[in-house]
Amino acid sequence: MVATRLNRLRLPHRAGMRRISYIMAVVMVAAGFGCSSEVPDPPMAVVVVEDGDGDEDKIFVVDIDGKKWDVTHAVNHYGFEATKFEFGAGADAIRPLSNPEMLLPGDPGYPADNMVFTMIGTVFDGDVRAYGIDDLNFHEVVNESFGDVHVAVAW
Amino acid sequence: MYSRQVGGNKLILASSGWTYLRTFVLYDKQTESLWYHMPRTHGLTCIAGEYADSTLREFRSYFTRWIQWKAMHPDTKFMRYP
Repeated sequence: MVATRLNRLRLPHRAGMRRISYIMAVVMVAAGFGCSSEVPDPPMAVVVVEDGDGDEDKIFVVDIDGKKWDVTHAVNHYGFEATKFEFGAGADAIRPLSNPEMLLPGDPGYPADNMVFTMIGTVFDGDVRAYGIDDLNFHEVVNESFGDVHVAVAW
Repeated sequence: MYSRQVGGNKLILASSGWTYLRTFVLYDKQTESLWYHMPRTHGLTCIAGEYADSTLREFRSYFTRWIQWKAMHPDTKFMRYP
């Protein structure tokens, strides 16, 4: 049986059973005094390590819904640090858009030429599309199609 | 803008609710694999899940202001906010 070392803390091992080691590392950093525009650092992720009993340990980060996301490969292969996953707001916190309606020049709601809002523009096979940043901030990902080519516009 | 096709499979990408180094960690709804734009790379890399180590290529996109974009592309479409 393999005892699992976690952050230099050797935890007792129960023979014959899968052991779930729980690290709670929640750090809340308050916004700077008098700086209302400062964004506080996100709390550290809740990390769960499952002892593999001879197989490789599995490393999960747990989000606000209690869902465990397996980040073992990210940690072992790409050098991600499990505690540095941020927010864990859950899969439904930010809903993506899919094949949204696109306005053409002259349509109601089409922006005036001299508006200065920021946007992401794409050109694919002569098809030119623009997505407002304010809109993208709400949804993060727009799943789109240009004919048979399927893309995700992400911000 | 990224391709969301792996082999013949069309993925639906969404935010996982996680960020890492303040960059959004995406996932695909089909397999819940995690996709991340690794620094100093183009495209998305699957960092965990069924598609681990696969990549989604990046297409050129432009971050700009409407007034400039519209001047360059008078026929541009604009996403209607639902």
